[in-house]
Amino acid sequence: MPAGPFAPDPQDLRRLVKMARLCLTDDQSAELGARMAVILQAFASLQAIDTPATHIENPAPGKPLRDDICGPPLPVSVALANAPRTAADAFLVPRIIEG
Amino acid sequence: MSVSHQLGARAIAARVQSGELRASDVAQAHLQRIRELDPQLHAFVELWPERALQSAAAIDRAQRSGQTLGPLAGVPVAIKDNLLCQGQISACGSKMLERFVSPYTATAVARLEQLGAILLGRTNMDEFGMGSSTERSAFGPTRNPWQMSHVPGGSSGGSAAAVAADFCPLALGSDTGGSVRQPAAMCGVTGLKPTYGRVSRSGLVAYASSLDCVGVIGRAIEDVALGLQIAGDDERDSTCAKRTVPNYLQELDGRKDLRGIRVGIVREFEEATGDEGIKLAVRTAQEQLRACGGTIVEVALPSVKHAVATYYLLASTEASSNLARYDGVRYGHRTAHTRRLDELYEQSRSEGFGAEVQLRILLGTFALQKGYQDQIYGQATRVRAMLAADFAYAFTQCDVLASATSPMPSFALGSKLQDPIAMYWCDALTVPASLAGLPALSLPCGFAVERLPAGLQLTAPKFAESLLLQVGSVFQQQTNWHLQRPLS
Amino acid sequence: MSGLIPTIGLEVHVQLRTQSKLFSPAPNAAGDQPNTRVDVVDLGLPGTLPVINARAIALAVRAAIAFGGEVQPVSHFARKHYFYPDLPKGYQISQYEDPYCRGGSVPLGNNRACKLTRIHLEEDAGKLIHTDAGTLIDLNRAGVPLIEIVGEPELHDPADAHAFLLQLREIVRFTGVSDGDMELGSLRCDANISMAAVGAPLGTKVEIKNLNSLKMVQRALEYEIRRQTAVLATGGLIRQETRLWNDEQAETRPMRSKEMADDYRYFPDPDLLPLCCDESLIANERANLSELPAARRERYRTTFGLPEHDVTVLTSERVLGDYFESLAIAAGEVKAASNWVMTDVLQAVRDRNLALENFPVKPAALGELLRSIARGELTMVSAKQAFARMLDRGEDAHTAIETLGLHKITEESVLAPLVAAAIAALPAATADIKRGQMRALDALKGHVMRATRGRADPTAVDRLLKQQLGS
Repeated sequence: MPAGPFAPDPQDLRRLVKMARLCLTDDQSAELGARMAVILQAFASLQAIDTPATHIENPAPGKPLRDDICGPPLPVSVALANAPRTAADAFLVPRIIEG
Repeated sequence: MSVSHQLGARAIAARVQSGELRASDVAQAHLQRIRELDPQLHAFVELWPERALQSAAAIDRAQRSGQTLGPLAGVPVAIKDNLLCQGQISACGSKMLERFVSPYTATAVARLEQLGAILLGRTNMDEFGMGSSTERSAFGPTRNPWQMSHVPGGSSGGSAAAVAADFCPLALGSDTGGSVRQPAAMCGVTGLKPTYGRVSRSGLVAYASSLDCVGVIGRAIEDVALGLQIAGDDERDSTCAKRTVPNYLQELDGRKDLRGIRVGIVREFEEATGDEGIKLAVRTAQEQLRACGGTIVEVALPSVKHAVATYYLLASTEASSNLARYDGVRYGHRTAHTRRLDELYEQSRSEGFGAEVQLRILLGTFALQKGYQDQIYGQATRVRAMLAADFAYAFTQCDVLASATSPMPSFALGSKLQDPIAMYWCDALTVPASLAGLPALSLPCGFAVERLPAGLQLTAPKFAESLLLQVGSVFQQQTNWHLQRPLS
Repeated sequence: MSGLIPTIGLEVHVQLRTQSKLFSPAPNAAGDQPNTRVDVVDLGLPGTLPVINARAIALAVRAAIAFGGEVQPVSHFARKHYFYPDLPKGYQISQYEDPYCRGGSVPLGNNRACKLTRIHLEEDAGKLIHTDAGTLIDLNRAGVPLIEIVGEPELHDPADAHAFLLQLREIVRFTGVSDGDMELGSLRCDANISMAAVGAPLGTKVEIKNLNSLKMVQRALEYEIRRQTAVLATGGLIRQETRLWNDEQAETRPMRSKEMADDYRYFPDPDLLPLCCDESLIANERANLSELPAARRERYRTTFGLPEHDVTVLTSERVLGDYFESLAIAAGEVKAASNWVMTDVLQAVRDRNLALENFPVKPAALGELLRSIARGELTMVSAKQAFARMLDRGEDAHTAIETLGLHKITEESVLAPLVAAAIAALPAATADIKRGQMRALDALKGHVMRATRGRADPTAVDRLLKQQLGS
């Protein structure tokens, strides 16, 4: 395992933070980045293991399917009960410009 | 009527069924004890006194009208803050879900109530189960009833501390990499992580879906056996096993000694147990298993040294995905900064999640990136399969494995917070069974030093919970560690 | 820059016609008030788990067989991650490396076909409504079962793309897999298009979205060919991008919002077990499939000898053809059965807003009515009256005819006085006839018909009129 991928540089880290939709200050970013690097370095030994090409499935007995039967949907008031912002029986977010 | 808070679940249920005790008095007595002692301990995040007394009154009415009561009739139980209960907040130890009121009840919790249990409230935990000390709760740490300066273990530290402090004889926790067994060991109580798929995950807030198990914590093995009766198929969880559920309590009576049982000692686990006090307590316990008629055999699990790395990469990967739903739109914390959608997402998530959660989300995001997916996540999956194969081979040579639960006893609050790797290695002996989906039980087996309990971990093949409980029962018939109490 | 040819690939999302959603028991139904068809699973609430709808799998397998694809014995669901408000869990459950179906093709007519890469199962997302106050999120559609049919990029003409979709839509409708309605969104199409010189490697691919009708697909592709050809002609480069079709402006525009991430971080969904499609499921769906529209059309032409118009109408929907065939057998007459289905049956379905599956007049009952007509026991007017009553009350033909007393009156002893009365009642018409204006006969006949409520045998009335008027 090359050392590279196990030490995300500040730019990688910014991309990861963005991809995970987080928002970190430079200090937080530096701290988490350093901790990540330590963890990934400690786990680097995993890459050296010669593993068999296939991995085991856990086949379950029976069919894990349900019949196509409708249950009662939630009342709108319940569906929206925990929502921080709503309007017109819908969840509300800042206006998205599409197209 | 005065109710002893030291009564076990089985004893309470028997007396409530016979009318000798009123469920209301039992609930009242336990609530009273919690109000007196929990301010120092902080095992509970929230008490539900009204709900508890209403349920207890209903049990008492049923008793008076001659109805048959469940095997947990009137037994006060606590549930971890990540098991949903309709109409109640389930915060998962996180600011993100601080005000989230669930519109539905977890299957495990619903079954507990069907068995007659009385829910007392929700217990503290590391945020989203990510921690081994309960220090990473957004609502402050829980203390170890044996040593107030020390952690109770985690992530189900609140449930383990509550049982140890005689707040309730039984509690539900969840175990992803040791979160039931490790705090049980550190608090000197009995904790069972069932086989993956034995208990429904529906209503258990997901941390790492392929590892998460609802577990049971009690003081005595018979109470844990009673609690495991929540197991069984659930149409709301397709990974839940479609197998019949034995009467675990009845099966306990089937065995009085360990003749014919081969107890495996895992070489790699012995090496990983650093603490001398723990080592000694566990060796003594293994010797007692032999004295009960068990045959000791030495087995090897060569891949087990990779278990911690494998576990943290897989668990973080699944967590990064499972926690993507917390975006401040439909429920959960929402930032005040909401001019743009991106801002809403990013601020809500970073304000709502603690640092450890964000670290694991980033780790998981890293592990799933294009180009690294097979190298990191894929490799971890393959090592996991190797480890499962190691266990399968070991179980051709023995019936149960006996080791320490945690390589070290409880530690002082704050002492490991700055060293993530040190914290992760607390789980070295518990994550292997999690990765292999095996049932494992932690039993009190003495003390590492004064007032710091040691735990004996027994691991069995999939769905061999009855065997685990039988071996545990024989052990507890010969020892009195599970009868010792930290608080009067 | 002539000599450039377009290469087109289509990806079609088809909603499956199930009662409930793919992973939750909430109803799968379009429209209605926002957020009234959601369950805790569709909201992505903590602790919720997906459980696969068996019917969705059956319909997906049926589609795979209809398109000649290879159903995989084991496939996997994967999580596709991106953040967008219409996606409650932060990931869509889809299939990635192991789709349930590989290969297959869509016929294009004239013995041509377009190969399919794969078909996979996935859940639909919710709907966003953009208002001045912000964007509203309705999750009624979230979790509706979809199959995504991925065509090979081997079409070279927008007309072929049109044919591809037309045939695909017909097959999914005919097999009962989907409503296949582009306007309502139960069938949605994205197109990829690139331009290159003959023999050259493929050009840069542009994806076009927002194609809500067959016509739009063709128009957008034609537009995009002109646009790309023009860009290349002036030495420009085609950007790899996603463009939205704007039908009013008749043009495509680059999509502004960065809705889609470039890294979906796929991994197998740990909440779901591998999907197993066994032989019995495949055999069962093969049996449910029977014949496809093209084969049925051929049979109606050759075996039944029906005219092209009848063939087109009767094979537009599987249930319609099924009804027609049962009726033809019951009536013992193919063309009469076809006429009744195309006119009276379809009219009743439309007027009364009925589903043909539970049409109150069963083919056997209508067949009995048609036989009565054929035997000369019933006039056409009476037959329609009987049919109306059968529709209203679910009666059989015999009972309807008897209750309404609709048997044709052929007896001269009954009809002769009625004819005489008509002549007496309409002297002007009688005079016209005597002057040779034979069209006035209709007025007299109508009088007799009214008097008998349509039951008089027209031939007998005709004969008697001519007799009594002495012409």
